[in-house]
Amino acid sequence: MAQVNAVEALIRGARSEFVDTYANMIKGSDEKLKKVMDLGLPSDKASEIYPYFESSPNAKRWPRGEPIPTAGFTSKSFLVPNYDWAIAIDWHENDEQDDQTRSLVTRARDAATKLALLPERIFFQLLTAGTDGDLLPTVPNAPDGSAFFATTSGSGANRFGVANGNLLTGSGVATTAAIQTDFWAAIAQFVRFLDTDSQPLWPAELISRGVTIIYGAANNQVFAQAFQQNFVQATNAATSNVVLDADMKVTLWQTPRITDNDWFVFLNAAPTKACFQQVRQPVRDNMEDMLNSDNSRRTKNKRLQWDARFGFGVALPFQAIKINN
Amino acid sequence: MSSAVSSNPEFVAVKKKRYLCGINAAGPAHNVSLGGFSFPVTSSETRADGAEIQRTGNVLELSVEDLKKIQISVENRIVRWTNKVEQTPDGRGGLVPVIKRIRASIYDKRSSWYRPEETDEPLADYIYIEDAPEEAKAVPNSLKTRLAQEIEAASKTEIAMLSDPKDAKIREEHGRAKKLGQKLGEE
Repeated sequence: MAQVNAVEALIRGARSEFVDTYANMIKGSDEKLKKVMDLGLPSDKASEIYPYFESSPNAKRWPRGEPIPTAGFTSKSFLVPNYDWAIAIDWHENDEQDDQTRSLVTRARDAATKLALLPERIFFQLLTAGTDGDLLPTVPNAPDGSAFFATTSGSGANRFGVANGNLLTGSGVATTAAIQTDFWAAIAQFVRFLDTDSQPLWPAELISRGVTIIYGAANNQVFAQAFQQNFVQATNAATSNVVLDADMKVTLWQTPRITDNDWFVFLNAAPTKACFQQVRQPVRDNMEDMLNSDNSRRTKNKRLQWDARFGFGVALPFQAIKINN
Repeated sequence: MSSAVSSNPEFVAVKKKRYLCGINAAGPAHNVSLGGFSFPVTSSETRADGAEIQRTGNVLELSVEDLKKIQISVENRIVRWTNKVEQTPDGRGGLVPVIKRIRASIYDKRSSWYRPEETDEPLADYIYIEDAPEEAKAVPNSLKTRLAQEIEAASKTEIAMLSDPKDAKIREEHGRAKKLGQKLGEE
């Protein structure tokens, strides 16, 4: 069992100026995350089945004397299991008493904010489909049987009725022009998406209500130039920016969690989000000490622990496009 | 082999072939995008009869040009694992340190910030592209297929107690009873 090693903080007369060295600075990106992920859907079972109907049929011309045209539509469903998420921290009570910095317990409590970061970490696991022994054991496919980002649905048809689906081949990230070209290609792709009865899926107004662009932090300069630059400092001259000029509302989200040159475009106003979190049991915390724990009375150890039951899934991802470079 | 052929002689037919493409389950990701195509561990398909089949990898129709794009993409991708040292029992009452891979990042060699490290592995080690067999390693997806079959079976019976389709336990009991009935009938 792992335990807090407080030996460096027990030295008499130690000063506490740098005790905040690893104080939690990341508080999560909830505001950005809410635009691309549904948080806190209710759950009351070990796993949840989410059904949905495909598009309703279009009206057709009804020639006189013929039977009224009829059509049905089909339904699909997908399953999202709940998992336990937890962390516990043990320390010896003597260490708490002798800690010259008086910060051992405060730092232990920081683990709660780390738990609050879980949805963001899972979101990026889903986005990059990354293997991570600490997170989801497998990254689920979307309800149509394909990966989150794919050119075809599981049955091999063009995903969302258009060639390349929600996975576009990019032009690289070397220049702002390349990024802007790929951005407009993504916007055009959204407009071309079709519902299951071959009618346009998204109204243009919804697309113009804003997009979130997620990309690797190492590419921040070129993305900032592509989407935000409208002024050249050195020459004091205005410069045309094809994205700003079109009044596209773009939220940029740079992250070190993306390590290659791929990037992602999400529609902010989409009524259903591509990723979601379901909550079977919210976060609860427990403190063990001599008052309430046999283990503490035996060992003089104290413990803080948090646990929760969450599930994470991918809904039909027609509000997200990946640019693959 | 399929091909898109135009009546206009200026257009050359693009020949495409079906391939089974994917990434190994022990790889750094459950899906990677290469040359604009998806390489998942598994994909699934709902057949016309409602049964869902899960297959290893993904069946894609690719042209030679597509394969070239994938080749460029895959040869530039590098995998870097993050390891964790865990103390595990050695069977004699002691502990031994064991290095475990916990997560991986995929880097693009063409990026200006990429710095090679000794432990870097080529992503190509985990990727496969092979001729797609007709059924492409399809196996029934036990959970959803079973559920679909059970719901279908339930809808064909007159048993009123199955009116609540969410009650999995009743369905399970019904399925068991039905199987037993079939077995007895055969005997």
